[in-house]
Amino acid sequence: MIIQAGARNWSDFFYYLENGASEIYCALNGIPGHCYRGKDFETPSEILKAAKSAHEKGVRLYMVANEVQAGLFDITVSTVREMVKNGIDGVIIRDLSILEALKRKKIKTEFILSSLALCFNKETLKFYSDMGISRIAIPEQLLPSEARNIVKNNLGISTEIFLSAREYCVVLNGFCYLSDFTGKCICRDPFKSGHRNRFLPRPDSKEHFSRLYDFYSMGVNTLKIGRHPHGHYARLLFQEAKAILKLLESGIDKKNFIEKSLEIDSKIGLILNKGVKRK
Amino acid sequence: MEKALALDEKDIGKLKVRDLNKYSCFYLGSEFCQNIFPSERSVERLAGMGARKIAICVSFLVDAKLKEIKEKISFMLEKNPNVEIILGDFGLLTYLNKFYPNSKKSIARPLSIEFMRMEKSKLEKFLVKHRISAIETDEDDLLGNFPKPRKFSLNFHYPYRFKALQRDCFYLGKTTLNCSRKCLGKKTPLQIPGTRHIIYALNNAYFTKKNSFPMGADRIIYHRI
Repeated sequence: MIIQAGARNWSDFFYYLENGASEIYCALNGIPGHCYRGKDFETPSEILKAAKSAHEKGVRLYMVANEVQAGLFDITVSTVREMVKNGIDGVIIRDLSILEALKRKKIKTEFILSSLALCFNKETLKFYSDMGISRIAIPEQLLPSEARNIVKNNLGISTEIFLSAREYCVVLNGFCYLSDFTGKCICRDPFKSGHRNRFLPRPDSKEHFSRLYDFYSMGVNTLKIGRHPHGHYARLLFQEAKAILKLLESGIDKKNFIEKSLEIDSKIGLILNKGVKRK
Repeated sequence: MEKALALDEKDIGKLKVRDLNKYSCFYLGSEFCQNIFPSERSVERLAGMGARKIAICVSFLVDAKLKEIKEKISFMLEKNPNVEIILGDFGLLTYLNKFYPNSKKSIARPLSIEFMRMEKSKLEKFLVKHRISAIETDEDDLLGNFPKPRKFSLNFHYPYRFKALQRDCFYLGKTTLNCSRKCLGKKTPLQIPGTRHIIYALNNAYFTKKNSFPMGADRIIYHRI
């Protein structure tokens, strides 16, 4: 299993490059990539420069374009085409019309189906495979037992999974409009229902690590760290991912893996909380 | 503009003659939960009561559910070829196009969210290629992007507007392949933290409520809950 890390800027990029990421992905301002706070790389030439630096170290570089709207369709297609022609290794995509357009233009690169797509079974995977994808980021809410046929597909499609203990959307990420009310993410906040506070149901950290162990055992190829507006948080996430992956690679049994992962997760949590208090 | 009624299976018996006259189409099932799929008996019962059109809603599906629902839908389509399938799963779309190419298909919410953001001519090409004749939506602000004439129907759901969707069931607290469907007929109001806004938990999804509906749709689907 390798680690793929999402970089918002040069600082993130060089950190991941120097600290062991096998793949890095990034976004370009103006091409929607489903990360609403903070900024991404400003120009295509910046991403191409990043790709060159990444390749010098044997690291692959991807671009994300996984939330396109009608008005940005043409610029997205032309930008992806130029970026692929000039050296990026692939694109993370969700939209069918973009996939079709790129297929029609015979653009050959690695197309990674975003976890935002509703791909929950092997036949939907085949549908997207026919449209040209060669890898899938498994939706966060798909259980390992449900994902078996996707992971062990016979289509040559490799798989990715997010470090969900740290990056888990309580609701389906690509279909969330809850921030419309306050401009903030509220899915983990208590909602008032009558006189009670109610939380939207979600798995706990133990369950997340249990799932990760199962995905690893099944053969998922890539552990993914998303882009984050706060560089400090993103780096800690990356360190956590490295530590967790080291545990998995040690051949540890599931029970001990969960226990030790929770310890690591707790330590990272303490560091994060200290950072918040200092502010 | 056509009028349709979305109802739970258990409420079929409560339909009156005036409902059957007023609504030309009845929606069963759920666009948001794979566990809420109607029985063949319910479809037969509705047809027997005189429903002119029946639409079966199917959400996105995991492998085990896709296998189960393919069998059920095949049985339904063999007996009732005019049943419309409101589908939220491309795996099911592939199956229907292979074995029931003439079946009437519509793209369910929330899958339709992507389609509602496509440019009209590209959307029409995609829909024609995949034998899809309609899109379900609740996004009244986007209907104007697809002025008539158009090569597909736009079916507008009222009064609930989709806001979010989970796999972990709000009522059970977990993801499960089978349940007793205690959520049928239930909606739970939830106040957004720090505001007076209310969303409603229905099946696995969350909605706001609208008071008006737009012009421009081909069908309005009323949800009575």
